[in-house]
Amino acid sequence: MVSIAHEVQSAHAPAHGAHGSHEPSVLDGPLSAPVGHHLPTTTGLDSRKLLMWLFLASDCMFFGSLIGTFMTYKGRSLIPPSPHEIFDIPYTSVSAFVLLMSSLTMVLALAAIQRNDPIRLRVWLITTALLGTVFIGGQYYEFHVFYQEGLNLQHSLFGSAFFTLTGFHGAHVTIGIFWLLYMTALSWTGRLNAEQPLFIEIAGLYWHFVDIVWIVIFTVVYLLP
Amino acid sequence: MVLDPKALDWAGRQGLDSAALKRAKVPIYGKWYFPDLPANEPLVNLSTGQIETFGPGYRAGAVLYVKEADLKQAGLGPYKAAAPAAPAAATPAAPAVPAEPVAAAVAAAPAAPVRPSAPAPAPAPVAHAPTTHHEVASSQEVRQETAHALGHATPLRGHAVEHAHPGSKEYLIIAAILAFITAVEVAVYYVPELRPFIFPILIVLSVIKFVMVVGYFMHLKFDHISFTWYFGGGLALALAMSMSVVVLQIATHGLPSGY
Repeated sequence: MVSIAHEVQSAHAPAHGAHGSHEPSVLDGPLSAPVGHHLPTTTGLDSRKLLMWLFLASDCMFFGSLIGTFMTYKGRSLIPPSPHEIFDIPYTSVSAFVLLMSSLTMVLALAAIQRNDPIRLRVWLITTALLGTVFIGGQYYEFHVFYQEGLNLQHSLFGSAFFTLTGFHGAHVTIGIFWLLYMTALSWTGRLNAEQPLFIEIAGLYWHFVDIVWIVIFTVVYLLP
Repeated sequence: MVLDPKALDWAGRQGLDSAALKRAKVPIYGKWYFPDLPANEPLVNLSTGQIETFGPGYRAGAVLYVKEADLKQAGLGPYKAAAPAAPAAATPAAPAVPAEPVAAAVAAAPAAPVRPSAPAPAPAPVAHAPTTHHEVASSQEVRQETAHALGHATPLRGHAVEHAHPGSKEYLIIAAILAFITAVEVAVYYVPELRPFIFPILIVLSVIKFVMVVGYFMHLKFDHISFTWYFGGGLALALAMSMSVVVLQIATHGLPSGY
């Protein structure tokens, strides 16, 4: 007797709608709807994930405008200190490395929930939040040192462009940290399980985005002469 | 790319991995293997164990498939015990009999999506597990699986196959490469001989890092192509906007002193 598994939760099966069950929507609440791979949406894609990608695309433009502004004013500030006088490249390199490694721990958290391993999920989420906190702490210290050197938001073209760009990035990282802690709390209370990896994936997309923005900032702001 | 049995639930339970399949010379259909799915051929989805049949023109993505006939012939997975006794198991006249039938879990198999060009009637939900190969084959006849639940007119790349991502080992390798590139970037900054070339070197290195994070950590490489277009569109607009501002500034005010 031969049989091949026909599992209910097939990646190809329209998991919702085909049998009269409701399509997941934002109104259902963040965790109430099961995550299907192929929802009966007009795109065939999960709308929540699509929304996050569209948000990230718009955030690209937001940071693109800030980076463009910084590059426009680069080298045109007449009031000292200039960037190469106050930047501590080894220190910022460590910060960049920390944020880069937080991307690794974030993706390991996703791999953990996909393996239905809640313990490792929480470990990696907390590690990611911790690395993000280290990055933010480093940025706060850097801002403090620059302030001591006389550089602030109103000081010069360089000060305005630098603090606006890196400050908004820091705000994004801070939001990401709270998001990760929220996900950790959900996992701890049993409201996040292996059937909902999409929630971790979406949080991960946001976290990786702040990492790639820092990749650009680190090169354009700190390393390029 | 090596199959991670943990990531492939059904294959993992069957003890199938890429090494075993390669040893048995079983072709694997997937993004990193043979991307073109053979038409009208029963294929076993290595994630679910489901048998799926595609029409002509479909390409595989991150979900991996093997031909059911190849599995039978190699005596792998559910056909482990059948191979020596039935080398010609692919023929209907000599049905293979696996020692360990896979537990079917069809509580309510949904109606199969069909292509608009072939509006086959959807079968009634199956309330029981098919117990014979004949039953499986019969259900396949009406299950013309497509890569899209909504029946787009043309096959969509990788639609069937979101969410199959690299394993932890691949992530560690990628992170090591990223860390190395970061170290190279910082080293380039401190080498005076490279100063004349620092701009292109750093730009290229950061682009490599950017693409690796987006492609592997954000899984854009493995996800549906639409996400690439959406994100790439925003990124292109951002680049165009920032570059045009810089070019306008240089055109109107010239390069800053020292350049």
